[in-house]
Amino acid sequence: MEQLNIGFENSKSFLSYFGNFSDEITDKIIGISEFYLQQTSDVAKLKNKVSFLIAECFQNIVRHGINEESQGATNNSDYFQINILNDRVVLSSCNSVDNDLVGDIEKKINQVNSLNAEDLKKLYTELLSNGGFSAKGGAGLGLIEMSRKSGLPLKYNFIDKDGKSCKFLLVLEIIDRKNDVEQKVELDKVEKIYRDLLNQKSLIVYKGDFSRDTIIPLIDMLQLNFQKMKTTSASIEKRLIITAIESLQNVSKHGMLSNGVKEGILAISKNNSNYIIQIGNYISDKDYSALSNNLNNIKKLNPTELSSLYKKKLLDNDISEEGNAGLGLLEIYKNSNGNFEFEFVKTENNNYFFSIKITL
Amino acid sequence: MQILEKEATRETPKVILNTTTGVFAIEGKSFPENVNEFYGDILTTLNSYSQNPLSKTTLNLTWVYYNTATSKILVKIINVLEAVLLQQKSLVINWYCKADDELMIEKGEEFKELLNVEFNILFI
Repeated sequence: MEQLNIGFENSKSFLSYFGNFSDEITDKIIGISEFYLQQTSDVAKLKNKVSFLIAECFQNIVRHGINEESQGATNNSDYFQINILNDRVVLSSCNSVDNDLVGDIEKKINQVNSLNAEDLKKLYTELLSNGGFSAKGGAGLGLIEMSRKSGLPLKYNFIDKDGKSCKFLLVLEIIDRKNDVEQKVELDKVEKIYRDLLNQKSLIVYKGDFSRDTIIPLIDMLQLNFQKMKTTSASIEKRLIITAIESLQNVSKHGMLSNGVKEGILAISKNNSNYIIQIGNYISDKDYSALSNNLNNIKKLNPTELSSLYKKKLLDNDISEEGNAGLGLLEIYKNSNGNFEFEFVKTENNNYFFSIKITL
Repeated sequence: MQILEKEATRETPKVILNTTTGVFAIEGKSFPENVNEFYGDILTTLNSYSQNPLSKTTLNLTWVYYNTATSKILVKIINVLEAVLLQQKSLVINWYCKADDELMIEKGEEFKELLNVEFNILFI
């Protein structure tokens, strides 16, 4: 679980996503990022710019990307990531493009990178009035707007080139111009994270606050992605969603508050026919024993004992004032047929980092 | 109160409780952070109806999915409605789901086995 955090140690929050890129998914990602940004005073003023640029990145992927689904590929490698750091927000996207488009995209990016703010504005107005639309409906305006709003040159690379296509990796750093103009993100590190996540067959990785306001858009995203991928049966999809809900609400309700947020990490990946859900969060020393005992006891149950305990708990009418039902871990066990592992790692301040890996 | 109606949200179901017909319907997703907050007035309405029920009471449930806290509230709802049986009135629970929705069929069967009421699993 800790390896999920590699590359993101300095992130206040991040969200990596592989899969379908629709307007609905864009809305969910914007919702999650806006919620986090408006609570994070240092980068709160970047909120509107970030939302605008997320939408622009997604449109870029949809407009220039090759739809792998329509070509029969089962593993969609189109990728988007938002990484919120102390003083800036970094957006990365990677999508397949036809080799024929590479020259044009490169030319446009180099052009916008060579211009200062005033010249960019001039070019933007010129293009708007001339309507210089490309064959795919873009006017080059997207890249100009990305550059204008981010405040720093666009970083890019074309990787994994074959005879027909390659992957277009684009990185935007969004800063508050008054504070800093130094570019800090290294393209090769972004590429490495992308490759690592792709190799892990990642669908989603999220680090940040696990409150109701982020759980709902996360669940919406998962559901939309499963539906669009059409590689998952409706029944498996529901088991996944329910297991994710129980795991996320477990963190939301029992996770330890740290700096005012219930921080955690969620990672969902697909390995052959199995889905793997991993969730990690901090818990206090006083909650450790009870949770550890509870999990160890559940692990020992055979299917008949599990079913009987589940039914007993279902009927016991015991719901706390906060709405806790005490059935979440049993539901996770049932849905995974007992395929879950957990770990507690003691932290420096004598609390614990609790992680659970569930295979469905 | 004759009709209690709630529109569906991203985390709560559509609810129509019509106490003049005795037909109650819950439909959609349910994973509110605190089930007590969402289902509190539903339980109150059903409790009050059960004191003086019609000859036939029907609860139609059509779930997309729900969390475990909702499943416990559902037991409470059914327990409240069971009061109509003590007054020699009828109670029918219809659990609607798709024929290929294994999970919701499984959940329906679990309730059917546990609860001592007329419980129909119906495919839509």
